[in-house]
Amino acid sequence: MDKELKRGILDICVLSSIKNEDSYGYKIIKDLKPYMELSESTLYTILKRLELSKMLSVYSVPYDGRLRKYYHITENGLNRIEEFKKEWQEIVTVYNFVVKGDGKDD
Amino acid sequence: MTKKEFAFSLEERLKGIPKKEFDERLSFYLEIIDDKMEDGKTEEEAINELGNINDIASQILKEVPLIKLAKEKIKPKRKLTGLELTFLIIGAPVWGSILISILAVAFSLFISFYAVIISLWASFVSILVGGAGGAIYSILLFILKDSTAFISLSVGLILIGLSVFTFFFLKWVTKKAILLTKMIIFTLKKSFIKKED
Repeated sequence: MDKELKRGILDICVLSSIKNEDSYGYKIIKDLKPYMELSESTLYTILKRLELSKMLSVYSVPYDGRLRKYYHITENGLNRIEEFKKEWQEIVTVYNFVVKGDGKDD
Repeated sequence: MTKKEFAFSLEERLKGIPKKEFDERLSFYLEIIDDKMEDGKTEEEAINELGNINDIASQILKEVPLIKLAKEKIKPKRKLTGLELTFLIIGAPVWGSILISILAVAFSLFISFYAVIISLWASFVSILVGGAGGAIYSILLFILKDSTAFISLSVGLILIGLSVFTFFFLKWVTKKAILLTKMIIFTLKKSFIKKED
């Protein structure tokens, strides 16, 4: 996948994985595995970027004698997801048009 | 590798990074390692899955801004004595102006490099405009039945063709220039990092 495209999509993927439920680092990677290979370094960068642009907030929860960082989506983050869905609705329409003709060339 | 060894290796490769940045990233990795182990993986597996430690260190280095590294380097590691402080202040006109001139040279090199790129693009625009202008002018000449119309048309078309070629060439040059700049910044960053042997 195109590098620039991938970067934008990864942000959205991470936001979506915390949309319905707060999540933590390893769980986010696991949940996204069937859709996208995400390295730990990349995830850290994405989470940092999303935190700076106020699309998510961070809090710590004691777990098993250590501290686990949880990420919670904000209003901004939810808006970003809606924006993404609208942008891609158009792309899906174009895609459907493009593949429509495919079955005929045999 | 154990968690301790991982932390130690990473710290060795990133001496000179502000402690806060390093600790934050390290605890992120350690948390994930713990979670992986809880998932059933061994400490060895969990750490191996993170990838090559040199790659991790390079990645982190690329993300810490050069300015932060420079600031960290000049931060005094212990309290300055009154004498040191006095000399620092008295000598300010000297080291201050040296620092400013070094920065000015670096900045002007950077600016002139990109000025060349920008002027190349400007010449692309002028070739394109010249070609288009010539072609359009030739239409006028054809209408006026002027015999120089053909010359104008052919020169115009040649210039347009040249500008197309120039465009793709300049796109390539600009990409390489940006890559080169990134590489230089990264090498500069590495020089701020003390390597422990």
